[in-house]
Amino acid sequence: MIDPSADILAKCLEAIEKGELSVEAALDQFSKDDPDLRELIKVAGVFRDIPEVKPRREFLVNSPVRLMNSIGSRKSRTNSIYRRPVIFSKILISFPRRLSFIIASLSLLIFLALGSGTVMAANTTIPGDWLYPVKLGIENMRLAIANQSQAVELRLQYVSRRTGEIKALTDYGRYDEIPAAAIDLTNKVQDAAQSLVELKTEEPILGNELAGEFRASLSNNQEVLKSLLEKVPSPAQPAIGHAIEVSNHEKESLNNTYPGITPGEILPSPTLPVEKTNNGNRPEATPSHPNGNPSNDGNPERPTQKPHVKPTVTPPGNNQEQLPGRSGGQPQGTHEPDPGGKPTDNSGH
Amino acid sequence: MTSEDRILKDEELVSAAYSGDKEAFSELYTRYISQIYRFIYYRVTDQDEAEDLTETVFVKAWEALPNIQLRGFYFKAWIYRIARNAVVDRHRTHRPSATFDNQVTRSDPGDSPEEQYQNNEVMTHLNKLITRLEPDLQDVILYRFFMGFSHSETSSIMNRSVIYVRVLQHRALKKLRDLMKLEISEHD
Repeated sequence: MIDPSADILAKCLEAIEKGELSVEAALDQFSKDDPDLRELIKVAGVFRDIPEVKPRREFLVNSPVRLMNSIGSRKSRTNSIYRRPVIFSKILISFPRRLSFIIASLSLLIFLALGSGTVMAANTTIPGDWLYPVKLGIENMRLAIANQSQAVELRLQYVSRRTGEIKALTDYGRYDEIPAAAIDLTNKVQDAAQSLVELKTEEPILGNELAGEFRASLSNNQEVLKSLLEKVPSPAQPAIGHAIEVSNHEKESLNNTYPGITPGEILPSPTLPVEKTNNGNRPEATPSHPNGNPSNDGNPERPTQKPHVKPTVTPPGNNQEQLPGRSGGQPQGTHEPDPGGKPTDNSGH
Repeated sequence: MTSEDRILKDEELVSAAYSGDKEAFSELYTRYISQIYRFIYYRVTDQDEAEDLTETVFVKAWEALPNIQLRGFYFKAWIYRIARNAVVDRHRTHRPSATFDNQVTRSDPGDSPEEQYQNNEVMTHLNKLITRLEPDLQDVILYRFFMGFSHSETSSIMNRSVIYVRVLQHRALKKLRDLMKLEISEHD
């Protein structure tokens, strides 16, 4: 049989939770002659001060895509009986099919409303700029429409791009933006590494090659980040340090996943992008190496013939950004990393 | 309102997801991701781990769905049990016998620094005390007061009777009170 005190306490708490009684009223009504119960109601009241925890917006946006990728394998045993209600069509639900449609629509709207110049300008922005979200939206759109291997290559690019942005933020002295940018970089590194792991089952040869490039690129980026550690104030250092640490960890993990290529087999590629100014006054963001040295330009060890020919997809209206030119073509536009080209030298800044 | 406008019940979505319908499962995911994240976060108190575990929980749920008995199936209780097991597994592999163990807390970013500090102080203090309770008592505190579940919901998730949950709650609050008193007397 239930302890009567437990039952009374439960009823009292229920009345408070439903708003039927205030705490004071409940204390009066239920625990007038029971000091023990009074104390327990007060203890339960302590939990009302607990701050509500909410997931990060970024997590809510990105995790559905990762989930859908993870659960893609189970086949439907019957015809789907689920039809998404119309009401859900009116709200943003971030799953791939819907996400790609929404992002594509938004980007098209942005493009039409502001003109291609805005999108091009957005590509050169850094965190804190008002057009920066447009840049991220375009990146997400490209990911949404890319096939698996193209998506991997894009993710690798975005890692370098985020590193370039942190470099640019440091150059401009915008240190407040650095921790968030470094966290974003860390997430991008992990996403890229994860996508490489997933690519192994589908396209092991290409995966192997990209893993080699990614390791080299990470080494290069780490050098840049290490050089920044000395320049940024202490509040910005932990996030950069963490990004370096995660990069190291992912490199080691990739060595296990793709043991076929040893680190250094492919020399660091000049994958860091250049964050250009809108008005020409802003210094270029990133050298491919902290010392400004070219990496492997013209290096004969660097494969020039790719084993897999990948189609290049260019979304209409965005000639600033190309999917990586695995088919042998060079990326168009000036801001994209050029896998075989010269790194941008910003020594003049 | 047409039939298509109707918001589908969990049971209908589960039935569709059971048949392999990813969109139906994605709808369940959208409904529960924030709750499951919060539940896990309170147990691991680490944002990154909570995010990883949240995703793991839903992947496990998808994989386990074909094996469920649809009759009388209660998705909410089931997904929380998966989440709880994921947290237990995580503690087993990372930090044995520890729950509510990390004292680092996070507040709503919208709070002022003072509010964040106070919130963190409250959370840190409570976490320290709750860690000293038995696992069942920790669970009931988490479900009832951190997650805000009713006695009935808590009983479903814990797979216990409502009466048992009420008894556990009483016992947990009593122990917490005693711990608080003990702490105060030690300070004095």
